[in-house]
Amino acid sequence: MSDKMYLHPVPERIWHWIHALLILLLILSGIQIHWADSINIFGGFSHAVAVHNWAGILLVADFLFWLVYNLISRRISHYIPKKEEIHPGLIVQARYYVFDIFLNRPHPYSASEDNKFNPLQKLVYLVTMFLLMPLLLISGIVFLYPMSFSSLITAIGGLKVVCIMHFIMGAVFASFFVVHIYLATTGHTVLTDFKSMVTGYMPKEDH
Amino acid sequence: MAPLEPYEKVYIDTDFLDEDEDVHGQISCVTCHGGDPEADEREKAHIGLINTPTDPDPGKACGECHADIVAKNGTNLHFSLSPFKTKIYKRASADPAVRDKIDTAMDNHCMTCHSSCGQCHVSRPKSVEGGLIEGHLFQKTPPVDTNCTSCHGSRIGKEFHGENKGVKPDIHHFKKRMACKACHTGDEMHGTGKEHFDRYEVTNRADCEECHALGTLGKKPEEKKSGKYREHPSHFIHKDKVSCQVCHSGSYKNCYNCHVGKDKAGLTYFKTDPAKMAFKIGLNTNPTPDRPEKYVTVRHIPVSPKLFDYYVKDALTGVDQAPTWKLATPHNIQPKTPQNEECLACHGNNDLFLSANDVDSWEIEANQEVFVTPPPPLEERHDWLDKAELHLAKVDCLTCHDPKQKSPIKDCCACHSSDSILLTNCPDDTEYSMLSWEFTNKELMEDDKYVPCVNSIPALDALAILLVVLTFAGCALHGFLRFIFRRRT
Repeated sequence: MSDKMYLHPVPERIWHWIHALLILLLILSGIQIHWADSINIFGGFSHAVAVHNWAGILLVADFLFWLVYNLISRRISHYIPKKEEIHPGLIVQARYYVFDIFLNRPHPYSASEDNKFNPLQKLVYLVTMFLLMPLLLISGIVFLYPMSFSSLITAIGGLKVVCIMHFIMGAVFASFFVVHIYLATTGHTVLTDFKSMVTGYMPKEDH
Repeated sequence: MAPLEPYEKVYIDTDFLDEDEDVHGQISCVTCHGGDPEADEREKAHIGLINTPTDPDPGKACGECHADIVAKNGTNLHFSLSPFKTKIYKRASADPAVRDKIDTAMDNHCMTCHSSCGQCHVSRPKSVEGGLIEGHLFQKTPPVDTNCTSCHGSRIGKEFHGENKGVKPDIHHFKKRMACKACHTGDEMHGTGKEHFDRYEVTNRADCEECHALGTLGKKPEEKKSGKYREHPSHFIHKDKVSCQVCHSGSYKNCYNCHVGKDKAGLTYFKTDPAKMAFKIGLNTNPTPDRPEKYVTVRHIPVSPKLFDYYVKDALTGVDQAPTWKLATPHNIQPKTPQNEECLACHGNNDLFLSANDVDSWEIEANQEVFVTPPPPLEERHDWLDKAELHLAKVDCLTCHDPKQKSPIKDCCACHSSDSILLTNCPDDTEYSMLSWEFTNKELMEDDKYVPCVNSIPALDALAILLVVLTFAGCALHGFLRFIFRRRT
C-alpha cells in the first residue's frame, strides 16, 4: 500500500498556481491603483491598470474553469461540508489551530482522496469561491465596463457602491492570501503542502 | 381694487388743511382748480373750474414749487405714452385718412391709460374712473394698490403679488416687502427730459445691478450695495449675455388678439383673447450699452391685425414690421427657478426659446429678429469628446466651461492625469482625516459626477490596511508560538 495519496490532479494544480499568480498580481496592481500617488510597483500607473485589467479578465476565465471542472468532475463534493463536519467539526478544527497545534497533536481531520479539506477549509473555500469571489469578479467587471452596466450601476447606487464592494473584496482576498500561505505551512512539515501542490501527492498521515 | 362710492371720490379730509399733514392744503383751492370763490351759487362758482389741474399742463398747479419735475413732464412716459404711438405707427398704414382714424381709435382707447401728476399723487388714474385717494391729501409715493397696480395690475401686479396660479410672488415682495418705488424711483417716473419711444430707452429705469453687485469671480465687489451679493459662476458666465430675468423669473402672462370698439351706448371697450401663461427666451432686438444682453425674456403683446377694425379696416398693414414678442422684465423674480437648476435646463432645452412654432403665421415675419435659432444638439456639439454621452451625463459643465477661462477647456489631459487623479474640481482646501467615512473626492461624488478610479475613503482604507496587517501579525504570532512550543516538545 502506498504511503502517499494523489490529492491534486494536474488540472487542479495548474489552475491553483495560475490562480495564485493572478491573485498576487491583482493585489499588487490594485494597491498601486488605489494609492496611485504614493506606490509604484509596475513602473507607472497605466502599467498597473493594464496588469489589473488583464489579470482580472484572466481570473474570471480561471474561476469559470474551476467551476466547470469541479462540477463536471464532481470534485465539487470536496467543498461541501458534511453534517458532522459542521458540528462538531468546525469547533474541533478551530480548537486544533488555537490549541492542539502548539502541542504537536495530530490533525483532527487528515486529508484523503475522497475528502481532502478539513471542515474549516471547506467552509472558508465554500464562502470564498461561491460568494466572495463572484462579488469580487462581478464588481471588477462592472468597474471595467461601466457603460455596459449603467442600469445595474444606477440600480445599486452608483459607481461608488461598486467601488466600495470591490475594495472590500480586494482587502479580504489580500488577507485570505496571507492566511492561506501561512496555513499551508501547518502540514506534516512546513513544506509538505507546498510540495503536494506541485507534485499532486500528499504523504498519508497517521492519527 | 374695490371701486369708490361716489362721495368717496370727492371727499376731502379736513386733515388736508392741516399744514403738518399736507403743505399743499395751504394753497387756496382756486390756485389750482380755478372757479370763482366769491360767487354765492354753485353754477357761478364752478365757472372756469379745472377738474384736473395737472392735466394736460401741470405748470400752473405744480410748476412754482416743482419746476424741475414739471419741466420734464412731457418726457414722462406715463404722461406722453409715446411708445404706444411709436409702436402702432410702425405697423400702421401710411394712408393719412387711415392714420386719422387710427388716431381717433388710439385717443378713445390706448391713450386713456395716460396719467398725470394728480392721477398719481392725489387721485386714482382716470382710466380706472378716478377718485381722490386719501381725501385729497397729497401722496409723495403713490399707493401701490390704488395707483400703480390699478393700471399695471393684470400682468405686473399679479406677477409681483403671486396671483398667477402656480407661480410664486416676487421675492422682493414676499420676503423684503418692497413696494414699486423701491426700484422705480420718482426720477424714473418723472421723465428724463429726453423723449423716449420705448420704455427700455429710459436711462434711469429700474436696474437689478443697482442693488445686486456682481463683482468679479473670486472677488467681492468693492462697492457695497443693498441687495444680496451672491457669487455664482453663472453670473460671470452670463453677464451681459443673458438678462437677469432669463434665469430668475417664472412664467408670466401673455396677451393676445386685442380689438377695440364701442358698444351700443357708445361706450368704448377693448377685448382680448384669454391670456396664456408662458416663459420664453428671445433675442434682444435692440441691444444697448446698458442692456447689452443677447438673450432676454420676451412677452407676447396683444396687438393683432384687426385691432382697429371697428374704426377702419386694414389699419395695420405693416403688422409684420415690429415683433409681437417684446423684451419683458417679468416681476416674479426668484432666486431659484427651473431655468437655473442646472446648465442643461436652458442649454439644449429648445422649448424655452422662442421659435416660429410659437407664433401664428402672420407673426413669423414680425418676430424674425426675436427667434432663437436652435443650436445643434449637445451631443453633436460635444462629439469631439471621447464618450461624449458619459461626459455630458456625469461631468459638471463648469469643469470644462470654466468661467475663469475665455474658452472651454478642450484638452483631455487638463482633467485626466496619468495617475488617474482627476485634476479639476478638486478643492485645494479639502480636509483629510484618517477617520473620515467620506470619499476623498466627495465634492464631486455628491453631485453624482463621474470620477475615474480615484474613489478612496480614508477610514475604509485604514480598516483594510488594519485587516491585512493584523492578519500578518496573527499568522506571525501563531507561527512563532508553534515554533517555540514544538522546540519544547
